[in-house]
Amino acid sequence: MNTRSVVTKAVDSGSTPPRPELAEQVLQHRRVSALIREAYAPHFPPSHEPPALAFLAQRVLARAHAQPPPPLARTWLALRTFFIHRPAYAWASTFALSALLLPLLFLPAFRSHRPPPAPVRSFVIYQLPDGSAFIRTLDYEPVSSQESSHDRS
Amino acid sequence: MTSSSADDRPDAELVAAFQHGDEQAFTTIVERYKHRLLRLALSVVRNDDDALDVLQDALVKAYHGLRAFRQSSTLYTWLYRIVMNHAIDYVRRRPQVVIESTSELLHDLPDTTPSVRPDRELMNAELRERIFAAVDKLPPKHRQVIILRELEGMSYKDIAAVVGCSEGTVMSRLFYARERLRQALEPYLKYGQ
Repeated sequence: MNTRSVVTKAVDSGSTPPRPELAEQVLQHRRVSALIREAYAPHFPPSHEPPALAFLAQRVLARAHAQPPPPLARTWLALRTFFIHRPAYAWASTFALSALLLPLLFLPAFRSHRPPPAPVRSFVIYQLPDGSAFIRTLDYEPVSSQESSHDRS
Repeated sequence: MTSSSADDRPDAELVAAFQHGDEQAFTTIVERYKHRLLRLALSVVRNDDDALDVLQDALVKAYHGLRAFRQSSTLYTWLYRIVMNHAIDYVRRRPQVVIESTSELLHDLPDTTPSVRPDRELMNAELRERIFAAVDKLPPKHRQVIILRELEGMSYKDIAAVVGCSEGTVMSRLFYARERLRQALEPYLKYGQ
């Protein structure tokens, strides 16, 4: 017995069905583009070269030499140039410099936040005339030179 | 190295030479792109003298920036970006009296479009004024893309590189720019072919 397939459903994908309003919009946009090109065309005929364009490069160079960028921009440009053209050297220098500077920067902060040293405990054994003895325990803590005369006993 | 042989060097070589101290390479770059860059500046500021000022300022900026230029983008899109940004800044700062002087400029310029009839010619002059006004009214980001696409004929990819956004954004901006222009020029679109 021969069998055959019958199409019961078809789904289109890819191109969307034509939309007249979209086509009209595209057409109008094309007209707008054409109008713009036509309107600006007289400004820029291919042969249009104002006489002032001659020696433009020389004038730009003269101005660039006479008018260096502001110091901040110059520093930024120099840094960028350094990193672009000598990346290995630039990064090595940066690491070396930060290795030197970071301890210097953070040392004062570290010292100011360091916890006070633990007190030092000591003792003295006194022997009394009757032969007995007692022990006096003493706690010490370091003080600055101004406080050295302060009696803490 | 003589300038004639330097002219043949590709952009990347010229940039590298300049970054190693060869100033002649910068002259070659300027000679190579000055016409296109002037056209770009002129399309934004629409005045010869202003366009030259903008171009010179932009090239001075490019001269200083070229030492740190990475070859990740192409030289001409980088130059276009500098000139375009400079021109748009210039127009922003410029007093709004220039629109009036545009008509004088138009009368001075030779009209290279084929003229068929005097009435068509008159319509063109009025239409041009409207078109310039409509383009001037566009936000800078829309004006940029319409100028680069319609007047410079740049690809979406290059426009994206100049403007600094994705190609999708370029397409979207182009659509909105054209739509705004269509609305502004609606009465004149009937005269189109």
